[in-house]
Amino acid sequence: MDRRTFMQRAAAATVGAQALGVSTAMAQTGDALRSLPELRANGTHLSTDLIIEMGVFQVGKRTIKVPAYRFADMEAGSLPGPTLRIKPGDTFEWNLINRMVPNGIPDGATKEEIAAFNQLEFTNVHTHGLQVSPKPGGDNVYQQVGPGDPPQPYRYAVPGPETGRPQPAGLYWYHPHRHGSTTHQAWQGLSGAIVVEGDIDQVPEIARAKERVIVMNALLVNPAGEVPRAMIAPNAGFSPFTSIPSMPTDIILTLNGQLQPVIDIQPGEVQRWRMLAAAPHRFYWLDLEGHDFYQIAQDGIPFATPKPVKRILMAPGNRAEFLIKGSQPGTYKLRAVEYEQGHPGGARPGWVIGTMEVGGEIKSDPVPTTLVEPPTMPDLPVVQKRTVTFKGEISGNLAKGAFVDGSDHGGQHGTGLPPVQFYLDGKVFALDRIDQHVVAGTVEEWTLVNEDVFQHPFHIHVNPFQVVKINGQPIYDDTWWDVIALPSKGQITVRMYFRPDVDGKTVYHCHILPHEDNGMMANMLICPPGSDPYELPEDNQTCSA
Amino acid sequence: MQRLTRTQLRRVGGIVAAIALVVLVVTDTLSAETQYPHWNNDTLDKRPYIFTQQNNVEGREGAPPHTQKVRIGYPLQVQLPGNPAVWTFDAGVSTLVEPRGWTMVFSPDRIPGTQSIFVFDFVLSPDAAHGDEGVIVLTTSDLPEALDMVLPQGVFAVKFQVIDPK
Repeated sequence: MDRRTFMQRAAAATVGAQALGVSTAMAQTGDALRSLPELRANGTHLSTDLIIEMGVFQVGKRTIKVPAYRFADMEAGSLPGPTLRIKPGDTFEWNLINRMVPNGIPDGATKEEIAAFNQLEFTNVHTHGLQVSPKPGGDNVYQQVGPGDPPQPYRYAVPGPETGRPQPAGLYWYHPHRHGSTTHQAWQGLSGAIVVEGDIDQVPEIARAKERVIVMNALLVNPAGEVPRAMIAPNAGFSPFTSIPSMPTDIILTLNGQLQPVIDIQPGEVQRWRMLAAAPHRFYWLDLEGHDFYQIAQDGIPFATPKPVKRILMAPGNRAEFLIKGSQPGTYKLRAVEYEQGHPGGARPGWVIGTMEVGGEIKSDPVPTTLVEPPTMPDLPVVQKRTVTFKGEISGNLAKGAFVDGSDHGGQHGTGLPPVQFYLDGKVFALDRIDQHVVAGTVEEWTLVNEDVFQHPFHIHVNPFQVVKINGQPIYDDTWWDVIALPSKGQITVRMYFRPDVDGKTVYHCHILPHEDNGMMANMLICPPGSDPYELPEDNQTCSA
Repeated sequence: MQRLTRTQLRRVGGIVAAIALVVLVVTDTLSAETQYPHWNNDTLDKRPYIFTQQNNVEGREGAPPHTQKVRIGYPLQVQLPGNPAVWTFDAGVSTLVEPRGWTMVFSPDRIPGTQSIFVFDFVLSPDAAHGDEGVIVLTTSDLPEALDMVLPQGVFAVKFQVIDPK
């Protein structure tokens, strides 16, 4: 089918489809990068529904059938989801509504086999990087919402200036975080940006710059354009995972749901790009031919001055915000450079994920020399030093139960041999175990030891951290992160401040989501200031004996 | 013919949408129950069915028999950890497939006792037809201990049935 025919048919389909709550969108290779739909807080409060419905999307030559997010005021869903814009001090709430329908079912699957994977349509939502309460009703990743369940309300109070530690202005995001289905839904593209607006936006050179919010997804699809609804195992080659039972899969790297879109810029123009690595597994080692990145923020937290860099490494979950200054007229490739992240079979292949076209009237936009005052680490003693060890098992040769609490990660074909198992400190995730008791208002150092070749990206909810040592050697870098890739067979020591006004139970985990779903996650209970929970056992879900 | 009011039009529109929704649900339900639905992107480059040691059920204690469905026109690939163990294709036992070469991909320290992944490519035999059953078998005489439960006796086998949704 040629493009015109497709567009006509798709447009015709859209009219009927939208009445049914089915989303459609089209994107051909070489189209201009599209802006995602946005919703902005009216005043200091925002209320909406966050609806997941099935959609049909054109990505390059493929038709993709996946669930997609939309807000209440949108007629159709978006791949990836729409952008939310808020400010420090705002409150926002949404009702999560799940209308997912199973697809990607292996040929010949029995009703029992289909039912065994019903959990893949259960979901919830996590506001990644927001320093908000993780308690029930807030950023609660233990919640689960099945298809057709009543709407589940979530409410968030974004820290404002009155807290003395406002949410830094920058790029954050939302995505499903239901243990066991997170990866599947990430491969379906369920993700959306949250832009916190604030001080850095007032820097004159940035205020004048055209802004682009760019969400990078990796869609793992079968020839039906659906994500396999089955167990997943890693393999060598172009598409990094196969399913059990097997079906042919392809991996598609998209920007704002488009395959290799074009980004236009004028010579000498400065643009501000906010990039989100929403893929569940792929590392992006970004390179823009002929151009430097002037990085202004990492994981939502701004720098004091722009940092010019040739390449930026983004692990799953990372955000990078930077300025780009258009050079000579021409076409320049935006690449995810070949990168060895430890996957079986070697480096993930290089991709051209988009192009930048420089043309038009010559401008002479300046790059700022100073930005804003970033948050600082409080001058407090380190009250606890902990070690967390990361280890994975991908042979499929170890029985379930080989690791503590491994019983909920069963094997396939009734053999009791899970395809993969990943664990922290020798334990796979267990809902009712408190792996770390910490205290709000204190500073701790955690040494994160990676015993694998796989580079595990460490992520912790609520509070960001700074890297103070790599392999035991001190590092002097005031960058804040909420995801940091651990070196293969190496270790990183991070220092974190548990903000005093947020307590509750939440998680830390590997942000390679197939690792997280297969056990590499643990619970942390943040106790109120003044608590002394350090000697409490794992089965104590409170902050006192 | 009597013209419909705007309210009546809305009602008709709602009924049409409701009927369409029912049709969609029924269609979805049917397609969920249909064994071999159409694959929309069937005409694009065909990626292989990839089988790893995790797909093997041969000789595994407690494992019920499993037959993999394979659509006509798609290639097949088996990937097994090895080096120093060497995997070889057992042409005497395998049926309904033809080998299309193999290689070793460097993959050190992912699985104890292995430094590489053996990658074997296959295609279905030209005479394979809907309903036919076949098997791919590979063996090694030097199985590392780290694979003794998932690949007992150093044997990998995947049984398959050919399907042709057309």
